[in-house]
Amino acid sequence: MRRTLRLLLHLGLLLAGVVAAAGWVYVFLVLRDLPRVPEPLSRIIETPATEIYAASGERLLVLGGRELVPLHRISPHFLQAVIAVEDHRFWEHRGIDKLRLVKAFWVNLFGRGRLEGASTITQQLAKNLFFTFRRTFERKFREMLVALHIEARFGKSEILEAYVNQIAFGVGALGIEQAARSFFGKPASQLTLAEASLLAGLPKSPTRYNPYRSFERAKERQRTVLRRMVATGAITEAQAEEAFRTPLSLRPRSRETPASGGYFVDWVLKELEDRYGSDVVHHAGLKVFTTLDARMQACAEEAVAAGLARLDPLLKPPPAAEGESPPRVQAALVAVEVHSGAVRAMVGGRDYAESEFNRAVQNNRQPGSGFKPFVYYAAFEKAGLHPASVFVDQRVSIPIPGQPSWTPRNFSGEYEGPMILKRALAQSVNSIAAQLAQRVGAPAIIDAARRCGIKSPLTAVPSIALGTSGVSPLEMASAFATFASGGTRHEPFVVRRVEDSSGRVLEERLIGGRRTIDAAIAFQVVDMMRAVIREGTGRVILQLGFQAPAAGKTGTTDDHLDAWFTGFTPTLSASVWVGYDRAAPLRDVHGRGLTGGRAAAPLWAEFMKRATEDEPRREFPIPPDIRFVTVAPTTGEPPAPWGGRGMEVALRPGQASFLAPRGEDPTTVVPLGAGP
Amino acid sequence: MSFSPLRSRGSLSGVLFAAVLAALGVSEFRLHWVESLLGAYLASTNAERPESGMIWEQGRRTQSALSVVEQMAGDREAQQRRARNAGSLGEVLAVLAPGQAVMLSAEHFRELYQRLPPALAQELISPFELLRLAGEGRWSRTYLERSSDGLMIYLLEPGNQVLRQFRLSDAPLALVARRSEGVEQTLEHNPAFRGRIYAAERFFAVLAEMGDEERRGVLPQPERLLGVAAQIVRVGVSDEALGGFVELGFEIRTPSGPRVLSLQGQDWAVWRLRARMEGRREGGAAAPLLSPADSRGP
Repeated sequence: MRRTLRLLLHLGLLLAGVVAAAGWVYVFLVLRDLPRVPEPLSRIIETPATEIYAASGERLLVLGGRELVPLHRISPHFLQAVIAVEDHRFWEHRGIDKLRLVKAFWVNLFGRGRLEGASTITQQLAKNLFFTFRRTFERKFREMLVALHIEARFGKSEILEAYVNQIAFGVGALGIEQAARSFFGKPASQLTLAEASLLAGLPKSPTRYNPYRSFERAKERQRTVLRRMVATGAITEAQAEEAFRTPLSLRPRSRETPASGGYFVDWVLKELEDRYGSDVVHHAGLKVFTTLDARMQACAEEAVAAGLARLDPLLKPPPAAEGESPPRVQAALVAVEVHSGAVRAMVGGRDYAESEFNRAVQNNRQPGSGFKPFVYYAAFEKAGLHPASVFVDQRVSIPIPGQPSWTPRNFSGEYEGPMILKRALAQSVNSIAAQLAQRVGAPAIIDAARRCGIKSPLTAVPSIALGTSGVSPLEMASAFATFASGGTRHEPFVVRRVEDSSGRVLEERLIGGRRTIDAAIAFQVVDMMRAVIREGTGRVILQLGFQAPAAGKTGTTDDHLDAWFTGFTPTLSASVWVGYDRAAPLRDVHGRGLTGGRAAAPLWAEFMKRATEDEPRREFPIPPDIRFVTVAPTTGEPPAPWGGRGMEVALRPGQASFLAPRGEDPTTVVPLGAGP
Repeated sequence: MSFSPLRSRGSLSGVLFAAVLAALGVSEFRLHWVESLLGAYLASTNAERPESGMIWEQGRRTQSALSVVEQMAGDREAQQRRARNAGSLGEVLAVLAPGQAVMLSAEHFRELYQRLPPALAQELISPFELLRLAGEGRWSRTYLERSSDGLMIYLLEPGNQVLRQFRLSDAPLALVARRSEGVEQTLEHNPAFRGRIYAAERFFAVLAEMGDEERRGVLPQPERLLGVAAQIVRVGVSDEALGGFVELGFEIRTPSGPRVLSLQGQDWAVWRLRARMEGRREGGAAAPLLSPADSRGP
């Protein structure tokens, strides 16, 4: 028996020796592949930041770069808080907290599904610097070894400094300095106990405890941090209680975070990555000067927010898909400088944090009647028509080879008979736009749209006259700017200049236009679009108090899927789209469909009122060969003294020369021939 | 009860072993010697280990990105520097490959413009238009961009708004290049001179016989030829007039081989010179041109 026991003891010792030897072999195998630790540790923190600036000088976004903040410039409250909650034996251990490790092992083994971590601050630093977040035994072991190395090589202060400078706090903030500035708008040195304890709780789960998303959860976490601080003797109960009760004023998410101008910044980044590659954009410390006007951007965001807040209670939401909440109506707004193409403001949706899909650029929605200005331009250029040409608003049927005839209907369902083209555009008469399309052909309309700046695929069918091919708000704003500039096309752009980190210019944008359409015809179309606002489907613009000289066009698609208003002053062109992301009609609670004039034009008016409030009043420049004549809106003849108000039209040389110009004797005029 | 010394020795060693183990365990918890030893070993072998892991990967990407940007900025700066020091439009062109561009001040461009052959300058932009733009005070910089088929020139105001833009096509560009520093070739390489290549001696002899006004017409800028260190051996006269000027090619012999320098003369004066060199009356029919010796290359 005794011999057996002795044998067992020896066998046990032998086995232990073998296990120990195998363990050491494993350790040395792992050691071979352990990553080299950079020296000094601060080297890992300092990467140049790519900074994106608005044209007005505000910094819109900082990408990637970090600057090491020394411990003496960090609030002691935060250092105490983070040590208390993450690793209260930090000052004692040599990289591994063995007691906590044993406890965690026990809990994980017998804790019925409970999982407890035992990572020290040094281990977390090792993990963040070298390893993926895949949880495996080997990764954990390697992380522990690197932690031992770090502890052996660097002092505790150096380790703590590296740790607090690289942990993630959410909302894109890496390191305590960025976090303090992002959440409280102050440097890390000025954090109070209340603020520090809130921030110290975030690294455990930056999304879950994000105070912008769930303030209550963040406060609960803050309570835990404060309790740990009391337990470690860093603060007293009374201090913890007072800190918890102290109201926290979180910094509104504004220009420094992607929430404002986020859609614009996304587009800038995409352009830069296409040109320079992702690594250069994110790691090379570029300075990017964009076209965004921060004040105008704020106006755009407020106009969209206010407009949607007004629409929300009016609208009857479409049915929700199974298991989802009903979709919310979305809006997009983009504003382009007429004489350069610079994009001054861009809102791509209701909330960037909710959806990053940029409806101002990526959307491809039918513009409806918003497309008619291109139809009229083509008709004037190719068919010799002019704003006083008379067409008959009547039910028309347009034959399409190999298909049933196309019978467009007016929005109101009624037909008014003869009228001049200026009135037809102002009232957005579909039957006359269809007749013009039949007269000039779809290719001519597409050609006009292309010369103005529409780039989306356009289908050459007669119904293109009513905007049946999808476009983006950016295209519309930019294409209408070609009319506003008197026929000169400017490519829209967002980046003015790019510099490297030491200020050397890598590229700068030249601002030049190209004449693509005739100035006089462009002015005729502009003059007709002025009538849309003065007396047509866009009257709401004037009613809402936007009085500056402006022109524009409403757009509403079949079944009210999309509502548009695109318009411009002599200096700024803006387009607004309102609709649902999926094909669902915009209907009010009474079931009535919403038009561009009702849903989109108010957002446009609100934006333009504020965006242009400091600008002097400017009129559209009139080309020298344009003359104005007043005609009867139904006949194109001089208005009879007893027969209602006339309509002023802009004519080019040779057009209706029998009509006397404004202020001259109209007694010798003869009527215009009616159109088909 | 019997006492076995062997057994007691075994128990003692077991106890000792256990005690040592316990002491090691306790001391480890108190002194962390295993961590310290392992950590010290790892620190001592740090230099031999691979630069792997996220932070090194990110560092490499940063380094690579910085070197890409450094290269771009450096190239651009060097190009700008060479362009700033250029004494002629031809020298600026020599700096630029297709797709490249440089920015010059308005003053520098005006200087380069003044050194252009009059016909080419006129073709580029009227001097009066340039005067008007300069007088308005908005023209601050000039951007020159080389494309595969010519040169785009943009006159810019301070905000980079383009005031005027114009294209210079390949043919005049080639002339600018030939004029500035000469081209390494013989006159035969330029089809414009075919059949109109003369010995330099004869060219200058006839030129010397002409009146002062005619000589100025043929060579408005003789100092350009006087500055040539090498010997001029042959002269080619183009048959095409461009804006009232005709291209003259001067073939020079240099240690590295023949080069051709281009200048422009006023058409009426050059035609008179040609008529005299070819021994015919001005305006009369052409006589046989050259002796075989005249047309032979150097």
